[in-house]
Amino acid sequence: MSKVTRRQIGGVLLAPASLLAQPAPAPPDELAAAKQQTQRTADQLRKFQVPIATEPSFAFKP
Amino acid sequence: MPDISDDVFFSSIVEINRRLKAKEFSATELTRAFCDRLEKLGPRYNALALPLREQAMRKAKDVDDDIKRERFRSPLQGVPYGAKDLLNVAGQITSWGAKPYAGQVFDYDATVITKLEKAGAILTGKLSMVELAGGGGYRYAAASLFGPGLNPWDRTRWSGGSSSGSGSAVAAGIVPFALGSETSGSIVTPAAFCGVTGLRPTYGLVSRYGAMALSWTMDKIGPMCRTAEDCGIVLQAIAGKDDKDPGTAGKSFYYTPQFERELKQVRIGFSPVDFEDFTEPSTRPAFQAALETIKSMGASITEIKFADLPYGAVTGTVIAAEGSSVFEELIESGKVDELADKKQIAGLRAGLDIAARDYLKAMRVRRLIQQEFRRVLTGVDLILAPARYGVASKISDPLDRNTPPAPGSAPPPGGMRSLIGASNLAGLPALSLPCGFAEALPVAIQLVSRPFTENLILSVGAEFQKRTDWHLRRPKV
Repeated sequence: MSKVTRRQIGGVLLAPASLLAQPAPAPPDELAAAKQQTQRTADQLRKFQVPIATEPSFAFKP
Repeated sequence: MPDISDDVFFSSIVEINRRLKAKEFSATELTRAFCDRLEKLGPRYNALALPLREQAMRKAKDVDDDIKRERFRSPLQGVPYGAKDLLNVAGQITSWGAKPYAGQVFDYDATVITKLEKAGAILTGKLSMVELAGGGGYRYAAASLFGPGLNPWDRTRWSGGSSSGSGSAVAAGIVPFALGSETSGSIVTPAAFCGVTGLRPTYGLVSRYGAMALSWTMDKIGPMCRTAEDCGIVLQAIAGKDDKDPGTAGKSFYYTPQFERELKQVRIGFSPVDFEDFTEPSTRPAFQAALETIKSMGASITEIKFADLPYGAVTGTVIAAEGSSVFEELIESGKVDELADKKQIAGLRAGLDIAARDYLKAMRVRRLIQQEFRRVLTGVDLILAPARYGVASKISDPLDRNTPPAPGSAPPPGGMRSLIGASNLAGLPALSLPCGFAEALPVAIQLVSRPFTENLILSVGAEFQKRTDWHLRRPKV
């Protein structure tokens, strides 16, 4: 096990917040995960029954 | 040289304008002080995208000439402000917070910038944002050309997204007000996390011409200020018909809270589980106190319940499909890989494959969601809910930690945790109001109402702020 020096600990404590905020590595296959999520969302919508007369909200007005 | 102290930096628009007219300081002196502050403190919170000192000082001199001649244009005359970096300023970089657009320059101003210029407001700089307003979905607060938006109340916490710089700059007294934009939560969230007052206007009330598009049917531009009253003043200046925006509603807005009905005639609906069960435990005392304050204002309070509709799936599908279409060229060219957040890159790519049938289904269900809001807002005038159910997350924490339940799992038992997405789908206005602190960080409630009822929301918000002082608290900067 490597030794952690007081200098290294001090460096971490004094580092700007933005440096401490380095994101963790992304999961290996983000695209596959995103596609799976899209598919799950689509499946959820496809199962949902909509009255046949329901028009999409195009020319959207609140 | 007059003393421009913290009292000025944290003053409301109304107060700054009064002091300008009283010649306590000139617009030039005020603008110089705010430019200094933006350049000094903006980077501390990763809030500064682009300083605009030179043009601000020119404009301030014009304002001083006007005030000298007693040409008073509006309450915004001489008041500095910042704009989210997705709003065009002619000849200046508009990066959309994203590396592939880091050098992008347009030759025309966004309509909202032009309108504020006419009102005499002084743009001191562009403010940072989540890259492409986070349209592909993002995992980390660092999903921005400018780094993670840091919260002035605690720099290890996020300022919220996607109007990150707008939220932190107002909270830190770097600008008296800022413009943000919201597709699904991008004003309400940073306003709540930073402890400022944010107004998401009704869809179509404020022109989006000259603003980055993410979702044509959901994008809105709105003010982030210290008070509800300030939000009303800014909204009056930026609202109105604009033939250059296909989504324009063709309506104006005049801030006239004095003509609103008395609070005892206002009916407010809420869902107790939101306040008692779904909020993070540390925030509950603040939310309960806010609920008591609202009750003490004299409005009638009733419980409401929303139908179980796939709010999250519709919001996600509409934004993903429209956003990926907007950025099709970026995605197909491969330049999308220059974005900072891997999840966002993947989300944008995946969005291109959404089938027409699924987008159309989402838009049909969206119609049902609008009808559901119409039903709920027949029984009450306003919907009250926590703006966010917890405090600002740590900047190193993944934002998708609490993913929604997978389709097919049991729906959440009541409450309105999908209110931000759902009310954005319905194009409804919302106001985020600071209502206390938890873990030394701000928490906020939100008020949502029918289309074009901003005066009602703002008058209730102003009354809440008469009875509380959470919006007056200042972080140590």
